[in-house]
Amino acid sequence: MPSSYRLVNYLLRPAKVAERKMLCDLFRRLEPFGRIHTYRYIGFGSIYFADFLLFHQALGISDMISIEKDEQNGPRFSFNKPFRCVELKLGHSNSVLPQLDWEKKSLVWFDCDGKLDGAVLADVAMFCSKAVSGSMLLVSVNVVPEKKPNAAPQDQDAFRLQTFSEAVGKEKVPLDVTGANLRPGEFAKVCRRVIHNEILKELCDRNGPLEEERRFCYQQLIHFHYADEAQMLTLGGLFYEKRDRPLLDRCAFSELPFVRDGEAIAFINAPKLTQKEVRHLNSQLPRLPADKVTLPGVPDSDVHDYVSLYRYYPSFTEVLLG
Amino acid sequence: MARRLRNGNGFDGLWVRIEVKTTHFRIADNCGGIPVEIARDYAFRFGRPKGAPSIPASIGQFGVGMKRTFFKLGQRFRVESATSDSRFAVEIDVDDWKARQSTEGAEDWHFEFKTLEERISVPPDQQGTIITIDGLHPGVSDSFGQDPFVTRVSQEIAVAHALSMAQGLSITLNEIPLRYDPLRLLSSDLLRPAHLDILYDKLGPKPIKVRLFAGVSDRSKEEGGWYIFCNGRMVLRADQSNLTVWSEGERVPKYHPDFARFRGLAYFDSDDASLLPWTTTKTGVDSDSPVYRAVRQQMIEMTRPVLEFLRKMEDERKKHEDGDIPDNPLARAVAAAGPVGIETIAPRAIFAAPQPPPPPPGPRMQGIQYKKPADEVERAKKLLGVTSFKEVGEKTFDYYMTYEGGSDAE
Repeated sequence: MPSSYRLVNYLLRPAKVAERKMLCDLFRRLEPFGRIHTYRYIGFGSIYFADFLLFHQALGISDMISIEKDEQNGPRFSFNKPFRCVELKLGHSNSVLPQLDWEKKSLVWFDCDGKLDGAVLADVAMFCSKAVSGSMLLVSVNVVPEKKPNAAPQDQDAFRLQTFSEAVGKEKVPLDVTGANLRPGEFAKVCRRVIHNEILKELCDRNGPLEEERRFCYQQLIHFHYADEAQMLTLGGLFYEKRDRPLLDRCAFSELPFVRDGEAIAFINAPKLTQKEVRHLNSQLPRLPADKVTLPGVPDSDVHDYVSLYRYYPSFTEVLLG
Repeated sequence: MARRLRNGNGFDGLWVRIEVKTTHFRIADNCGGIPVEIARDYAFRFGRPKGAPSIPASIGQFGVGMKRTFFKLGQRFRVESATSDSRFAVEIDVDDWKARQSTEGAEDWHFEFKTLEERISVPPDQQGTIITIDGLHPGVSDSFGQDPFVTRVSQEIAVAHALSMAQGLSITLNEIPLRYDPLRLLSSDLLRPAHLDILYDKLGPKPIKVRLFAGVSDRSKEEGGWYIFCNGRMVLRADQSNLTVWSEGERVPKYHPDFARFRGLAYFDSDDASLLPWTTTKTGVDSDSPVYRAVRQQMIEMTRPVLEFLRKMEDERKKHEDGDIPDNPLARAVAAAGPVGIETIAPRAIFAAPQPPPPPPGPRMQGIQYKKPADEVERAKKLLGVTSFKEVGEKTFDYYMTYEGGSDAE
């Protein structure tokens, strides 16, 4: 199966574009922990490097590492690096991450095409055991439930449970989870729980011998659901030492409308609107309450979705690049 | 005792002489002797009184298990010890002592000094401790008479105390000096073991110092794995289980012969032996210890780059053997590296090793494997005029693709 970068131009996925812009706003808020341009960004840039483009241009981050598992096509990835400051590391993230120096504050986004599995959890665990206070971790995974063709519902449940157990490791599946929890609409919740548990477990081990003030805490900030094609989950947040709690308070993350610190979900639904409609809506924004915003002939739900992310709504246009 | 005497400055000139015979067990040392107050208040009492002074970086929480061991070995024991300013002897016949306990009441679990001199001056060559146990129990005596048992004891002592021996302590068993095999890691400009130091200083009155090393050494399936030391004593040898790092989800796979060159060394040291992550018997690791759990995380992450390197080396070996690649730089780097002791390894959090050269440009290659009757393959070899089975496979594939693959075959 070809890599997803050969199927979809990452730059053109509207929810993904909005997500990146939101994360940019989130990262800006980290200033109390350190000047944002001094952070290091680690991601999976693929050949489009959309996240690297944005975070360098908007935040000035210049210590950037893109991990690329498709070693065979190294030259192509290398050619497409948008800036000189992007360092390409060829190899699976499971191999590359343990070889990095983790003494620097880092923004790490494991933006995976695939589903949650042991390899993703290994990266999460690695980050939790090494990251310094003020670092941020984000994980994106596909949360479309597995499906066995033509199976009866109970077979489907059993199949899903078995597939998931094999993917993440039996011991990582919470005791109360059954196949029914892995159906559409529910599966993402279990994925969130498994990632969350992994974070807490690793922090617990790391914290054991540390004095109270030096213990690491995890503050979830991001819980996105979106679907440009496949249903995706992005989960993540800030890692900080307890003594840095006042810095966290100064970040005032809760002022950002898309921040979620628990099970509540921030949906990124980018409605399909014309440029004229967008301009019309923008002329009424910002406005509270949002239901005062109107657009003739467009469903209210689309208007609502637009209002909730208008600052991050992508604007695509065709230009001739010479 | 040696640790207290030298306080971390090596053990040159110190010795321990052990005799394991059918008639008796004897262990003598010149390591400074047991101070009278420790003998009186602690070593020869049953149970460990709170507030007993801690002996800097001692292996035993001194006395724990000592008396029980005496009882298990034989009927009579004698402890003579001299420090620079005191000398004492305790001599016990276990049956007599037990009888006295029952007449005098179970409250008094003290042993009595047979002789005791304090505020004297003892010349250095007389300072030390001699423990003799005789009237050995029948099973014990039988074992002590068997060569394999004595050999095993000598190996266990040599392994457990290799570090102290490396620092100059001489140990003999039945007058034969024990040889130690210090753990060494391969090092060169290209190949550098990882070395991480961690200090935990808020867990108790005394800090815990942790030193971790990970790298490669000689290929040995049995000796590959993690080694754990507490105050210099090896409590876990070549561990290949999840107690250390192995079979940890996708972070670290199950131990495998491909990893036979891996060595991980973890040294936990503290002046307060009770803070160390060892079991109460001092013969294993307490996997529930918070210090151990936190250190284990770091051990896992230190292990991964080494295994990654060993995997690539194995991959290189196969490709090189098959003639797919002309060179084997990883194997050459290992062959060119020399063994070094841990004291010469500079801190660096991540194992450094050469990277394999990038794969040759061109399409991604895929191997094919299949079996056919041997005489038919031999016939094909002749017909094709080639000398290897590999070529038979390649030529027959090419032949098929030439005629059936077409230019638009997809």
